[in-house]
Amino acid sequence: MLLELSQAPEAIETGVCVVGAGPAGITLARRLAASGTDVVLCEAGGLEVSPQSQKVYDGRTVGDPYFDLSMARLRYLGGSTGHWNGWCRPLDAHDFAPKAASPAMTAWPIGARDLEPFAAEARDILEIDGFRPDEPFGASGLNRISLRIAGPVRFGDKYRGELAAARNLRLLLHANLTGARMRGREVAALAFTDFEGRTRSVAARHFVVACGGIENSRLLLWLNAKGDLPLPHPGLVGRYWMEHHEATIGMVVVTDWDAFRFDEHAIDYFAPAPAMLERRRILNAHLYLKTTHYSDETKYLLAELLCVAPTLGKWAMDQFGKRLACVGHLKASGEQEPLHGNRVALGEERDRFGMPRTVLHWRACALDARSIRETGLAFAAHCARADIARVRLEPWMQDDGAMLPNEGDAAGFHHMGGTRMGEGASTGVVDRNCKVFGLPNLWVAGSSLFPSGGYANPTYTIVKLALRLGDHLSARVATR
Amino acid sequence: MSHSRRNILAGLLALPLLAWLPPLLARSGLKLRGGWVLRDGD
Repeated sequence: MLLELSQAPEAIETGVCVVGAGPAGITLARRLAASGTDVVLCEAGGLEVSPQSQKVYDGRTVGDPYFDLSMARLRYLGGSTGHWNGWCRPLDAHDFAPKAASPAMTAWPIGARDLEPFAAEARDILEIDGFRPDEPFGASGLNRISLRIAGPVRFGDKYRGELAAARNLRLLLHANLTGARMRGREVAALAFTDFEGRTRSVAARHFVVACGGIENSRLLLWLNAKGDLPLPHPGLVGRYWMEHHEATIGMVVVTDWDAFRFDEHAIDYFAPAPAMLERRRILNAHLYLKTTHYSDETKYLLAELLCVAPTLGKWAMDQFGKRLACVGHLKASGEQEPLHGNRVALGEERDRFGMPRTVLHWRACALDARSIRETGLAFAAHCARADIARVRLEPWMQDDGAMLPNEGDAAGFHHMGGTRMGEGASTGVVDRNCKVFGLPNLWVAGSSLFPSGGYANPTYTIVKLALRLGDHLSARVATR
Repeated sequence: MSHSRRNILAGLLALPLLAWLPPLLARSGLKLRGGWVLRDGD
């Protein structure tokens, strides 16, 4: 059933109340409803993007330049899947283990095997094929990897009809979380307010916050600060926030076309093998080589190659007329070290519901830059050694101490951390089952759970985690 | 000046400032010239 908040009774009761109808919330709500659990799914926006809803996302960033926070995510049914590109990739199995480069805070309390049972259904939801196994890229220390593009699936469009038709699921639109009421140590009810100031209360046995990689932290910080929902362990909420750094490595002239396997998007992908991560003490990253067609840029590139490498340059100039797409852009997307100082915090300014606006503290560190640089250099060196391509490195790649250039699209719009999973309250906000430490019936879904981010686009992992949480919660509801 | 020309200039200017990368590449029989990672005979 689909209702405006104002159409709902003043006091609603349900089994599980899911706050936020993005990929995590919708996946979770569908899973719970399919198991027979009664669900109320609360979406702060409506069926379409609206300025009044997006305005609630206004905030500011301290540190490195970052995107406008009101544009970096979408606040309506389907959430940020309304503007994603659809790239999918599982986290590597070694992403769940402590990384040699930063062992203290990179480990997950679960492993890839814990998510594997949900992989097939997640691929079905995202409408993607399976992933090819990684394979060594010669003696480079890198693996060739595969990514998939999910349509891209817009969760709001895809599931609106199903959510509206479900008998044991009520989808409430324009339901902005504005308060909470406790009963002892348990959350008894949450309060929601629409844009006209009408308020409704939802009582449930379990509550799940699934509002995205920034809002999950912001909401918990606010409800804790105003005393509505006292968190027994608030210290890490908002902390260890992460993105995926995007950086240009350089330009590539391919000399052996058969050494690469460009996909239907003219891209080939590479990532460090676990041994390289261990040996070089770097974080994870992936490179993508995308071929480009003849342009002034490629003309100048080949002229430049002729100057510095006359024999190869002459050969390339000759080839250029025969094969137009022999040049490519080499870019990287890299893991960010989870750092205590990178965090979602509450500002002084407030939104229309009285909630403090986000202040996002975000900075890249030297390890982030070195990890991408060493990955790119390994690729460039291998290509020359194996005589399959030559790479012209960007200036920042040639400077051992340079930080990431942070020009243009410097990050992936991937908001991770803030309510990280941990073995205990000293390393996490939630446990391995996504339950907030110290509270028996409050749970979190989405990429804010990630203790570390690898390089993989997060949505595939978000969906698998939501399916897993759905099974866990439906079992809890059934046995109580 | 076009973006491409600026890139070429930046690459060439960066070359003499670098102390760490050429020896690193030399260990693999490679060299850095104008920002390009090259091999003997190129």
